[in-house]
Order: sequence, then C-alpha cells, then structure tokens
Amino acid sequence: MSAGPADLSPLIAATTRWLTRAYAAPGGPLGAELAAAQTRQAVTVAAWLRYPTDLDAALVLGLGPGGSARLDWLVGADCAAPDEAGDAWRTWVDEVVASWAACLLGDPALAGAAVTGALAAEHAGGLPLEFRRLTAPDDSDRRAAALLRHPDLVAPVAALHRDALLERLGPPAPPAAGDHARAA
Amino acid sequence: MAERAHGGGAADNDVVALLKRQHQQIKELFHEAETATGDRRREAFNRLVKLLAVHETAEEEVVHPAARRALEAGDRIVDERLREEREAKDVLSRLDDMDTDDPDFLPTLQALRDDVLAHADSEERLEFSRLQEKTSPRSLAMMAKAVRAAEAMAPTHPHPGVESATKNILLGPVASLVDRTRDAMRRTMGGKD
Ligand SMILES: [Fe+2]
Ligand SMILES: [Fe+2]
Repeated sequence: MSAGPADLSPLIAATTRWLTRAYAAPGGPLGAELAAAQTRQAVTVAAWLRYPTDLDAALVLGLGPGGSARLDWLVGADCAAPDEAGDAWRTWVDEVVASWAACLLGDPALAGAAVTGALAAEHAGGLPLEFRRLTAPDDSDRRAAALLRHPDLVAPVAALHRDALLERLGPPAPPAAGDHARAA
Repeated sequence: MAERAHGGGAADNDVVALLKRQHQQIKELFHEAETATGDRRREAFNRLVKLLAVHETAEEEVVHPAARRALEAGDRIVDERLREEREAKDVLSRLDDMDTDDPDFLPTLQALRDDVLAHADSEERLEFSRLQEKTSPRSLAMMAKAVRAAEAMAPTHPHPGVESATKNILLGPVASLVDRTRDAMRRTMGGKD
C-alpha cells in the first residue's frame, strides 16, 4: 500500500520545501538539488522520530500537520510569497518536524543519534537505511546548504521545539571511560 | 532461485524495476540535453540534474546499504559504485557552473553520459540482479516504497482539514493537539504510555 493513511511523504515533502525555500542558497540547479536532498533526509528523520508509529502518522495526517503560518511569520514575509507551485503545500508543513530538522542540520552529533532513533520507527520497516547526505555531507553538500546548516541562521526555527527533540532522544550515552572509573 | 519475471506494473512493487526504469529516463535525458540547443538545452540539463540527484540519493539511502549486507563482497561492490557516483557528481558540478553554449559543455556532458551509463550498467549487472535474487519480494516492495518516498514532490492540493488546522494555530500550537489526541488514544487503547 503506497498511499495508505500512514504515508508521511506529503508532510515530509512539504516541510522540506518550506526549509529549502526559507534558507535557499544562491547558485545553480545542482546546488538546489543537493540542498533539497540533505534537507529531505533531515525532515524524514525528524518526522519518523516525531510520529514513529503508523498510528501517530495516521493521526497527524488526519488532524492536519498544522501548516507553515507561524513559521512564515517567524522568518519574515519573503518566503511566504506565493511560489510557482501555488500555496496548497504550505498546509502540509509540520512546524515541529521543521524545527527538529533544523536542529539536525546544524548539529552532526545530534543528527547521528536521531538517525539511530528514526531507524527504530515503524516507517523504516527494518530496512538498513542510511542518511549520509545528512550525517556525512561532502564539500558540495555543505556549500549548497551553507545557510541551512548555519546554527545562528536557523536558530529561530530550531529553538521552537529543540527541547522536545532532546527529550525525545534522551540523554547521550555516558562515555566508556566513566564506566571504568566507576568500576575501579 | 529462478529469475522472476517482471510485468508492466512491476516497478510499483520492485525496487530494481523502479531504478532500472529511472536509468532509462536518465539515458533519454542525456540524449535530449545533447541534441537540444540554447534554452532548451539548459532546460533539459536542469531536468537531468534533478533526476540524477534524486536517483543517486535514493540509491545511496535505500539500495546500497541493503546490497552491502546481502551480497557476497557487498562492501567492495558498493564502495566501487559510491566512488563512481562521487566522480559523476564532481563532473556534474563543473557542468552546472558552465554556460551551456561554452565549447567545453557538450564534450564534458558526453563524457559524463558515458560514465553515468557505465555506472548504471554496473549497478544492474553486479548489484541489482544479485540483490533481487537474495531479497524477499516483500523487502523489494518496501525498498521501492522508500525510494518513491525519497523522490516525492510536495502536494499541490491543500490538506483537507486546512480550515480547522488554521483555527488550531489561532488557538495555540497545533502540535499540542496532536500530542493530546495521541495520549488520549493510547490511554483508551491501553497501549504504550
Ligand atoms: Fe547509482
Ligand atoms: Fe542508478
């Protein structure tokens, strides 16, 4: 079943579009595609963490992801301008998922932990998926997402729901050296 | 195991059929970009850039990790494919910076086409066919779904609940509504906390 009630891809695609438009890097079409690829991975990981089960996904798709209104207001009027694809997609934007994705793009260590958590979600289906454009970007990826990966620039969006993300991921694993110290 | 036959709608349920179809589309777009001129060449090249970017990203995300685990010498086979993909990305980046009327554009594009089609051929012969033999139809279908999700476009129709969602934003963050409903449902169903 590809377009079942638990298919998060409209939410993921719309939230990706919002982030890439709000933090578009200058440059040609390749840069735009490279930015979109890593953002889509960040948004996918964020969405699977936020709505890990089919029930969660059905719920947000039923109630509605909330739309981009507050995000548009937050980053200014520029990206609220109509685009060539119309404005309907904005109703599929999820503010929490956008905020979590912004946190992940700006923090590689957090992104690694988030991927581990996301792969435990029902949506991963047990597949050994890799999100290396997010966790191991090369130079061209970084150039294309210079604004999206700049912690200061995405701070207003990332700060909205960062606490909830940290809570969701739990405390970082204690360093192994600490275990030895306690054992000694 | 005998070779499975793939009919018309196979790409919906089989990641290998889906990716092979994209290889064909990539080949056609190269041809279009090479034969067109002026604005039409630029436009065809932009579509090629887009298709190559989503295709290689989806392979790297979904198929290469599975092949690494499922195939004998999977690491070697996948590392080779990843190296080819990196090299193609570098050439694509050079072309992206070039004017399509630049005398170097067409020869560079043709060289890239040869490399990308050779890469696609290696994937099909050395990686995909073996993965198909070693993977259950259910997993192949799940991988196809993951690839399609990775390539999904933003919806062009509004969410059906858009009016109430707007109201929710006025009342408070919609996020809390989802959380409250989720908690209530879990309590009702006696499921997770
Ligand atoms: Fe490839
Ligand atoms: Fe390929």
